[in-house]
Amino acid sequence: MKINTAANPAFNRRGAVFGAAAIACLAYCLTVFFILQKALAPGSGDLSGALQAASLALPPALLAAGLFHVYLLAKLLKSLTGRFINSLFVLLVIGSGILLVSDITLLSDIGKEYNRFDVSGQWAMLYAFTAFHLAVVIIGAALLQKRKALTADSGGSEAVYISVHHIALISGVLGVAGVFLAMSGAAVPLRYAAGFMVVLSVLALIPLVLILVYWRLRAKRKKERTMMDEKQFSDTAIAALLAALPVYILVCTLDLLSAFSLPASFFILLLFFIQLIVFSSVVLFKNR
Amino acid sequence: MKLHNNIRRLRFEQDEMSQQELADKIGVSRMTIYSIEKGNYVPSTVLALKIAQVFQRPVEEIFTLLPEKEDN
Repeated sequence: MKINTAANPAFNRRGAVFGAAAIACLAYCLTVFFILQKALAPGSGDLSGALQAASLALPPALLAAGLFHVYLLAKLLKSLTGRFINSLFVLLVIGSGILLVSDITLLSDIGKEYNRFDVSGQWAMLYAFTAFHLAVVIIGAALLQKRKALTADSGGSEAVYISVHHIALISGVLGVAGVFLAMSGAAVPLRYAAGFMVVLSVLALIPLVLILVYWRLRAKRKKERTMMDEKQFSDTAIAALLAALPVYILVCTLDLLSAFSLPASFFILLLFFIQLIVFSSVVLFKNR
Repeated sequence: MKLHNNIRRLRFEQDEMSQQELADKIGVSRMTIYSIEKGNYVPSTVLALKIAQVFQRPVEEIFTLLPEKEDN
């Protein structure tokens, strides 16, 4: 990996300003959430003018944090190293970015329901998500200041190839966890399990889709004829073949357990994510 | 029969060329070069010819078929 040691103060300054702004915005959100939670007790009536104005600034503050996520993601993708921790942080940034959208939804739900229902669950989620954004933004801002961490030239196609499989592996694990969470009935009533499972699966796959798109665009920009070299193609073919095996094992197991009364989406998604795990694990194993 | 290669030796003879430098010259990943050197991956004809081109040697001087016993 080539390290660009040339001084680039403009880059770091920009990163510091964006990072500090994002941290300030999220700290502001947390403060306003805290004040709002106290003020929005059932039957508390309308908010004061000052509090209304403060809450109006929440969407722009979350948008600013979202823009920093995009900036950070762009920097991370350009400096992929192929290390697991690096790929994991890419996934956390994408995940945090997606959750920023759900913050707006939660705030909207709280606004509509606080007068009639108990919204403490939504507040707890909002605090947890904001703390998560804040942690991601602080780590990201710190990485932007470590010149070598995010100004290093990317490890090239190989780093992207490995990172794609790291993210596919994590997406697979998250997908399997999501399928079982939905089927357990712990998160939503079982009658909504199929829909919830699909939503969780889509969320688990968004980071993978994003990095696949980046991989394709990068190959196009660098005018690479193929996205993989011949050994990587060979490894991918072997991994694809091995990833077919769990289908037979799982179908036989489920048949033995007479579990076919469960929704079809359960089998389809479970098989898909298990195959993704096996596929990426084999590729990473062959590339170790 | 096993495919033996002299890539590692030839790299060092060429100003201690790194695996990454060789990989960049022939458009593959460093891991592919590592696997070829270790004998874990048998390159295609095109790749073998590209490697030969970099070292400016005939292919058979870089890759040779050896009986399994001799290799050990």
